[in-house]
Amino acid sequence: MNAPLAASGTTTLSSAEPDLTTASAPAARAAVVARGLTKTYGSGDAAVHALRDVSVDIAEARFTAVMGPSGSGKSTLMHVLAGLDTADSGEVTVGPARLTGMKDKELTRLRRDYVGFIFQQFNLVPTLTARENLLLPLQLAGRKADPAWFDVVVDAVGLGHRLSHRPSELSGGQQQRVAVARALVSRPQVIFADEPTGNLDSRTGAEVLGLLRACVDDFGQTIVMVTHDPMSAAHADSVIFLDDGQIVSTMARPTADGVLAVMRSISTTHDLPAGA
Amino acid sequence: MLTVTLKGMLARKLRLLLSAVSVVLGVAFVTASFSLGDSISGAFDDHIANANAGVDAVVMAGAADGSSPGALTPSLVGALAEVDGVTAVAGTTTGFAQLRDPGTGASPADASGAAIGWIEDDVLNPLTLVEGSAPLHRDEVVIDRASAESLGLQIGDSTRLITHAPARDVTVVGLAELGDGGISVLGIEAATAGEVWGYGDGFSEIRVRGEEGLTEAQVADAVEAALAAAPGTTGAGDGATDAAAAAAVTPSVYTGTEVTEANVAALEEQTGVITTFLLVFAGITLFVAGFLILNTISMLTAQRSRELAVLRALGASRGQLVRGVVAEAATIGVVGSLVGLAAGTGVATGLVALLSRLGLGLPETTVSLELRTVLVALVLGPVVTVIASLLPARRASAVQPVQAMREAAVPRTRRRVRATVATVLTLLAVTASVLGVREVSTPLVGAGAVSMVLAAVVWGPLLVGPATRVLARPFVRLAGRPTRLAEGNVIRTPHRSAATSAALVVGVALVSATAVIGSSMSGMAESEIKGSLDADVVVWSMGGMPFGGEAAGAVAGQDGVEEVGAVKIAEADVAVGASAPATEMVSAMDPALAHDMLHLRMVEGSTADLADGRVLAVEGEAGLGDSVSVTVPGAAPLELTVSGLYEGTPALGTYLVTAADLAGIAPQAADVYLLATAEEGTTGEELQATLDAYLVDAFPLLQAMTMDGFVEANRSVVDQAVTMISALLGLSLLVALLGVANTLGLSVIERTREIGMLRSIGMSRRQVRSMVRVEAVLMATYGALLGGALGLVLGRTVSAVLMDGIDLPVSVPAGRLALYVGVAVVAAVVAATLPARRAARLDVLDAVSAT
Repeated sequence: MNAPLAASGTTTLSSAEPDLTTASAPAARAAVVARGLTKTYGSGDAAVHALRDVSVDIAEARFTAVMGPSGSGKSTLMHVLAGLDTADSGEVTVGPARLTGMKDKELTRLRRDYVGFIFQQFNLVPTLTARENLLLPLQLAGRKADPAWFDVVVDAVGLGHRLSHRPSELSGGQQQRVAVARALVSRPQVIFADEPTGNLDSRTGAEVLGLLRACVDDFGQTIVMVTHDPMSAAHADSVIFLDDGQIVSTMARPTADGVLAVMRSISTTHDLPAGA
Repeated sequence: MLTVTLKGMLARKLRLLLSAVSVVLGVAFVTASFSLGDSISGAFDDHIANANAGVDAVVMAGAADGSSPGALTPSLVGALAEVDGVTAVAGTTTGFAQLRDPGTGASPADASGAAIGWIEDDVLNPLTLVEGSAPLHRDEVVIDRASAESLGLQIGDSTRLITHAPARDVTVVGLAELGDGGISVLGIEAATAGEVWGYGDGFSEIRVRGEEGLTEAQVADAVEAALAAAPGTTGAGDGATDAAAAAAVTPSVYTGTEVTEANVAALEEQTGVITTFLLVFAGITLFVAGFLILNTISMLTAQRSRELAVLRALGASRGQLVRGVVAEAATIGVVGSLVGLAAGTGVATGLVALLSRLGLGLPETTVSLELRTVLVALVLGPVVTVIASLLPARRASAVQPVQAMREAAVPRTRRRVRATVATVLTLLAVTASVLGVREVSTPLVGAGAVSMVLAAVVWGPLLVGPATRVLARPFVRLAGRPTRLAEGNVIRTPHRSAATSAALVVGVALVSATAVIGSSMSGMAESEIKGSLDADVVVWSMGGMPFGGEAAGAVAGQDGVEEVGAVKIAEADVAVGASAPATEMVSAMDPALAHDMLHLRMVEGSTADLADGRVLAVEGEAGLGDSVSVTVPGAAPLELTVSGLYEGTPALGTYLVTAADLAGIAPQAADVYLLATAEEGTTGEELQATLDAYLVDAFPLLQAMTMDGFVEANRSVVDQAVTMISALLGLSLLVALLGVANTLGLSVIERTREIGMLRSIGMSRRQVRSMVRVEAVLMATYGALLGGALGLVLGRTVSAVLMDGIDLPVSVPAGRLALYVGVAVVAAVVAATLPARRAARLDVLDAVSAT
């Protein structure tokens, strides 16, 4: 049952091995720290171990991709790191905030202050214009936008002339750009992106990935992206591979071919086609 | 957050409109009820005040509202004219009268009509002559312009004057108005008025005007002092009826303002009863509307659960989501209430105009919209809406932010909690109802009824699935495959289906309960009347109006009549032993005739035990040998001993005394019906025909009926009430059906993609339509059947209490109940028309790609 690759990674990642998660800058601080995360759905024979004792550090101002086949636990890991879901055991810290045991109110504040999201389905509010969608997180938190930063963000995503349009009047790529801007505008500690190119064609997808890359490089934004596409993962600074609820491998300065090779080796152990 | 809410609502105008319709209907009903009542009483108030303008004091035999008449003598009028400070005095008599339509020869349909003896003094006379001359001869009358028009009468025309006395020919000599006009009223010659209403040459009231500069109170005091100094001034008029002469009446003095106020109060009490009655139904409609709102908002938020989850992920708190949903509801409530307010005022205006056109004597057609009405409407609508939205708002806010990234979440069901609550409510309902029926306790039966309805609502989501599976069976043959899909659609959202049906359950339960109660009451009327009266013909006035004593003698003199027994019923305060007096209906009859003609089910004693100084009482009201004190205003108490107990019957009041005893305290107490037996050789039908032929002219207000006809007439009163209540409840049914349309419409929108898929794999438009229709039929059948069953039980328990221990099988109007269920189902199919068409017209490609 144990994967050959997993043999080298049976010991889960820890801050003692910083080179595994912080690809280009070993001294970078961690934006998100997780220790000993375990989560099980169901019980008895039907139990599904979504996370088995996962520990991970997400480096600040870096672009981290999380990969793995369907059911590997990559989505669950992201949900837990983002405070959307809770682990059965283990601890998560986002910036200065310790998520474990947080009540709904505190989690809401966490989302307002420290976390941004980019979804596969874009998830813009259809009745609001691009500008209103962009400002929504700030309005929900009862804050005013910093006009200078707002302009910088709008400029970065290249949507200045589209701000008064509604989502239905925008292409998929444009909608996802609005979503990126929406995540950026409140300057979160970390942005979680869930298959951000999953609903886009490859060219538009590449543009969005370039935009995310630029956010990291130009603004020092921390981004965690869940994906099953090796091409997407190649835009990241580092990749974490999950399988069967465990981190089985990591890769710094990934290339599409390198990522594909790792994914294949994981898949063969399950006898499943890659990326299923 | 508010921006998101408002923009979202604007984008879904149709849904907003649908959810607002139920609020509109409820609020319109409330507004119309208030506004109609206010308009009627407001209009009359002014005219009463005008009619009494310039009158400083009024002497009356009884209460200021004229409810207890008694004769005031001409000598008293003379004495008052001598009082210092009094400038004018006039005695007059008021009573019931109508003019017959000269064209058709028919009496007006309603048994109402007021008339007053003419007063020569312009100020004291409430009537103002506007055209022609005053009625100064026995055969002359003046009439108000509106009545003249509706009856087609002009000055100089002849017709017949109908009172409780024999009809007489009269000529219209002038047009007169009360106050500013508009109230239908007759003026007849002064002396004739006294005769017609049994006051002889006496009066029912004396109107007094004082000198310039004196206050009303000063004039009234002077009159009162004069009355006290002149004893024996009442009831001694020459030629007054025996009864009137026997009256020991103490006259009372009121100021003009007091009389106006008392009249206004009496009127407001009447319109108040109507308003309250209407408001009860308006409340039921709003209650049903509440279900609809709850359901609509639940569906709207369920459809938006991903959007709500995204908002949560973007940092919205639970409170913000709740406030958003509630704000949406409040907007629906405010918009719906505003429209409802306008619609209700419109309906009231229409009704007032209609009433005026029907000649029901509404003085003016402007509708009064009081601040109170506006406030109630604008508060009630939004409050009901907001309360109904709290549950869906709480549920919606429980959405997990993570659902923004997952497929639709599975709703959490707590079947066990629901089943427990439902079971407890059912047990409560059964216990309270059984105890309530056994103990004849209204509060217990009421509590039972309320918990029964609640239990049905709580059971709903658990019951709707199994019920639908059974109900769907007959349709499988009819509509084939689409039925299976429809069945699945109803079952997969049990909460929604149940909430949609709940509105129907409540509506159908109420109309069914009304039908059961009505049928039981009319069944009771039949068996009780037939069982307790032993006569061939009953003579009474339509609508049960009392009538004068001379009719009894006149009927007795007709061919084929063996005996005539007059039954009087009067309202009196009755005290048993030392207990506090209660207002009861006291009936009276000649004891010998009572023994012959009344077949009471005696619990103790017999009808032969009725004699002067004795009383028969309904079982449970008093015990054998108890002393009973009967009091009417203005008379000394009548002390009686209970000599028998009988089971209650609608034919008689709570107590039965001798005619002589009642006449002793209430000489004016009129006959309510006459019982006549036929001589040997004459059948009941023959006698009825003879009497009817005589009465039509001699006593035009009276009718002779065979026992069967009398029972039928009593039943028709009940039936009319049932029909009216059912019509009012119909509005809540209408709201419930709107709910069916609304739910289907929303679920079609929700299932756009699925319908597109079904169409793409070969489902025809026709099949899509029948699928949606069958869904409507399944929900409606479930709701109507459950409602009908609930109504049956409710009707039985309530009937049991209403019949107050009268042991009678409750009758079930099976035909009527089946009709209600049928109508509900057919109406549901109609309600499903639009959603079905919408679903069938969906473009396959668009639908499949819809998100």
